[in-house]
Amino acid sequence: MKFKNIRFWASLALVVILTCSFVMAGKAITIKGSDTLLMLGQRWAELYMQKNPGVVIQVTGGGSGVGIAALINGSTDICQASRSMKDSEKKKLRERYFNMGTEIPVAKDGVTIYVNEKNPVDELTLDQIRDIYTGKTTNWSQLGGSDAKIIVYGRENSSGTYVFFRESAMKNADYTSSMQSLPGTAAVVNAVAKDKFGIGYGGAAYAKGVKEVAIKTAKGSFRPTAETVKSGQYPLARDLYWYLRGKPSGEIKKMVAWVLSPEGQEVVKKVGYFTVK
Amino acid sequence: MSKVKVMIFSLAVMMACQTAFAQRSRTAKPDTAVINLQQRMEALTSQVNSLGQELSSAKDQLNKQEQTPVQVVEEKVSAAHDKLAGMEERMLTAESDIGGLKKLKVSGYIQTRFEYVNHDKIDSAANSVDTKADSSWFYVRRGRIKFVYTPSATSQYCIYPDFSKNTVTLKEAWITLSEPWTAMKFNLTMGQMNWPFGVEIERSSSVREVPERSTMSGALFKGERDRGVKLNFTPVKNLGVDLGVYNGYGVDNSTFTWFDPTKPKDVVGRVRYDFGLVALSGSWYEGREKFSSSKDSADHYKGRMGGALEFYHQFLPVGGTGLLAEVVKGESREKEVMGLYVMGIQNIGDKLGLAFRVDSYDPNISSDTTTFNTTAAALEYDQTSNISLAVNYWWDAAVRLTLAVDRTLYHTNMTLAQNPDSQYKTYQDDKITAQMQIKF
Repeated sequence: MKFKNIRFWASLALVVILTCSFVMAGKAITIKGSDTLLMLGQRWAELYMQKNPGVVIQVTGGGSGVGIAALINGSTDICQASRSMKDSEKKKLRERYFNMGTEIPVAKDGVTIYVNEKNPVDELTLDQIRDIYTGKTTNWSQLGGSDAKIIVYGRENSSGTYVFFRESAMKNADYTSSMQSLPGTAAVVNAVAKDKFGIGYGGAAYAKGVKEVAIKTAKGSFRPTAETVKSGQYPLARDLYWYLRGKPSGEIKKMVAWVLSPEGQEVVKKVGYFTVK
Repeated sequence: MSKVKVMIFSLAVMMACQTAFAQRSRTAKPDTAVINLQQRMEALTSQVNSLGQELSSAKDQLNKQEQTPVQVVEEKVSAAHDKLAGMEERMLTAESDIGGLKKLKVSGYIQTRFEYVNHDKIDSAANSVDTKADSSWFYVRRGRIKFVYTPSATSQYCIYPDFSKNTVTLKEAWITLSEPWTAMKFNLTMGQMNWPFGVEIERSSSVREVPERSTMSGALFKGERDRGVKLNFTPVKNLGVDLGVYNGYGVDNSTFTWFDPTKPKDVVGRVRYDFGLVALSGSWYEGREKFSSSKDSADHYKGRMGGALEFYHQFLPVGGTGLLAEVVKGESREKEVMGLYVMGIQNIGDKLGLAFRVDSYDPNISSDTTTFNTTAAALEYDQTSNISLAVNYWWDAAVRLTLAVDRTLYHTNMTLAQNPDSQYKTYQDDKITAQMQIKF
């Protein structure tokens, strides 16, 4: 060995030991990501902290894309996502942490089409929905409503719901440039509740003060209910996920088990989503 | 006189006096009463007119008041609508601009280094003596910024310069077309890009756990990039296929800086199957090369075949574990060449990672000598081996600190004049690298 100075090796060992101790130090559990899951995540966190004094959980939104990026760069422990991780995101996670991450479906949802309560339109087909969101259909009279321009509301592209809706309802077509992108599902619901000619989409749990439009398929007309979502009859049914960097361990493992337990899943129903089992 | 008479008389006198007084009054001030009455009448008329005017005024005001709120509200609504329309127009313009910006992704990284080297190897064939020159230096190893523009799902453009070591060089510039019709996801890329061979070549140095690539990759795929065209597709899920046609000289060739003197182009292919925790890949490369720019210089066959293993796992509660291994065997300058490396990575928590790599490259596996290249100015060693140990610490989401130790062994065949004691000798370089990297 040519390195004669033992101080170098001592310094290296010290750096490793100090860093290890820093890494192993305890910290609060952070949950970040989907705005669709924000309400549910907050409710879970509140109840879990009540039942487990001493555990601190911080829940923030920002969108599924933001949450996944935070999971990859290490700034959150749990990512809430309303869509599956993309291959490119999984690749980044594997490059950094040498595992595939862990995907846990924690709830089910039916992406709901909202219109104003005064709007006479009660059901739409997926083709009609796609035509509205691509800008092909621009007037409610083309859909059996009044002669008025359709005001289209949607989510920002960091949202998992934005991605899911484009893939599932729009067959990957581009959104119309006249769509007003809003920063959260609550904002979309609020806009549609005030706008007589508005239309929006978002999680089933947010559909308050607006009318849910049924989606008409060859097998019938379906609204997002526990039955239609679980059976897959509702065409815009989806899983809502928690993503972890690796296998769950420690307090996170306990929390995941509780979230999937009957007690945790009861919260899912109370918030307005559907249980995974 | 009786009382009645007295009373009648008194009454008569009083009436007479009253009449006389009234007559006197009429006679004395006949105009005052009229004037008073006229004045009072005029005053009353004036008051009536005044009241009439006030009433009229009040009516007018009432009418105005009845009309004003409607007009004001209408005006305000109209003004607000105009403002809103203006804001909406500006918002749509801004959204359109931002939408355009979102299509442009800018990323990059900077690596700054301090290196300390115990130098022991022979510098050149012409001056083949031991020149032990220990040295150390600071430098910018990489300063890169990558611009990728994705206007739609069917095309993508990239330009990727490097600003390190006092020069600006183009690392990549390519255009990719993606077909939207099939599930096989065909992507056609043309320009300057990585060779699609093995694992290490395409693995960005921004994520690599040890400071430099293996000796094998440096010798057989110098610069890791070339000019050509590549077709990538996914025939079945988890199976990736790459087929490429390239000049074959790479971006760091000093003789053929951008062109290919051989008429046939080099071809490269790779198949990779991802099982999840394990991924296997096989690569193949075939082409021809010249070593001189003169026209009569002969073509030489150049070929490589390689296999790679990637293994990923997580040992709880420590952290993720990775194992990368790759072997390449080929032919170059009419000699068989071979190289390999094995690298193990162990994360400790989310912040700390350890990496250990052993690699080796032999430019002529059929002989212990390198006589084929004795006329070259730079001496080629019979075999070069490398051992690297690195500690990585992620300071935050963007910054990674690396401390690495490398030991490089050069095995070479000496003439007796150069080394009377032994014909075969191993030289040893040791290097410490302290690196800061920021990635965005």
